[in-house]
Amino acid sequence: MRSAKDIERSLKQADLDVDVNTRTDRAIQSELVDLHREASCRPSTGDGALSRVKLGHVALAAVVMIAVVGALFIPHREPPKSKDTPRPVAMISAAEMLTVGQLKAAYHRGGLGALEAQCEKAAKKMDVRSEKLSIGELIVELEDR
Amino acid sequence: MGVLEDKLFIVRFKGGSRAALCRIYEKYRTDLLKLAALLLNDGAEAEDAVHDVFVAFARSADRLRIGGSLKGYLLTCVANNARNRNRAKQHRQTVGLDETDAVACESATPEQWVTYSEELQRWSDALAQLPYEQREAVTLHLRAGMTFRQIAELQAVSVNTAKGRYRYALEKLRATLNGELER
Repeated sequence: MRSAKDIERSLKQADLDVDVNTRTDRAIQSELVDLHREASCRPSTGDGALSRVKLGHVALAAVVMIAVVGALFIPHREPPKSKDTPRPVAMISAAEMLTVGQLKAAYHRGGLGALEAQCEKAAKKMDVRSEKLSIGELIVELEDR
Repeated sequence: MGVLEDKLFIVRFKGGSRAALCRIYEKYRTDLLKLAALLLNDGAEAEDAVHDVFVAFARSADRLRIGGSLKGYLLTCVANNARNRNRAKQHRQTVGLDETDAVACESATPEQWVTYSEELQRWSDALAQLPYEQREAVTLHLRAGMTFRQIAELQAVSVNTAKGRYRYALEKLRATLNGELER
C-alpha cells in the first residue's frame, strides 16, 4: 500500500519522457519563425503610442521636479557686490538703477529720500518728461523702450 | 544561469532574433508537452495546446511583458490553454459533437508530433480520473513547480481551496493506484 506521500514523491520524480518527431518539429519551428518575422515587421500601434504618452508624462514630471528642487535648494544669488570702487552713477544705465538691488542700496544709503532721488535720476536718464512719476510707471516706461 | 539565459533570450527575441525564438522553443517544448499531456490526457489535444501557445508567443514579440520566469510564463499559458480546451471538450460532449470534431482534428494533423512514454501515459490516465481542478492543482504543483498561491491565482480561488484540491487529488490518486496494484 502506498501512502499519499509516496504518490506525491513518485509523481514529482517520475521520468516522463516524450519523443519528438524531428520533421514535424522543424516544420513547427519554421512556422513560428515566419510568424515572428511578420510580428516584428508590423508597425507598433497602441503600445507604442501609449509608451510615447507615458514618456512625455515622465519627462514633464522630471522637469517639474527639477524646477521645484531648484527653487527650494539652490540659494538665490544676490547681485554681485562690487569690491572695487562703486561706479559713478553716470555709468549705470537706467534699468540697472531701478533693479531691486540698486533701489535697496539707495534706501540703505539715505532712506526714502535717496530712493526717490534714485528714481528721479533714472527718469532723467530715460528722458521722462513727467514731473510726477511713480516707480510702477517707470517700470512700464522701461519695458516699452 | 538559466534565468539569466532566459532574460537574454527574451531581449533578443523581442529584438527580432529568430535564433532566440528557436532556442526558447527547443528548451521548453518538451516540458510544455508533458504538462499538457498530463492535464488533458489526450496526445493530439496536448500537441495542439502547446502549438497554440508557441504561435501566440511568436506573434507577441512587440508587446511581450514577462514579470517572472520565462518557463513559468509558458507553463501558465499552457495551463490556461488546457483549461479552455477541457471546458470546450466538456461542452462538446454535452451537445454530442465530440466525434465530428475528432475527425476534423485528425485530418488537420496528418503527422504525429510527439510519442509519449508508457510512464507518462500511466500517470496521465490516473490523473484523468480526477476532477479537472484537482488534476490541475496536483499537476501544476508537482510537475510545474508552482506554489499554491500561484495555483490559487490561476484558478481564481483562495490558497486554502487550492491546497484542499491538492490534498483531495493525492488521496484519490492513492486510492486509484493502490487499487490497480491490488488487481
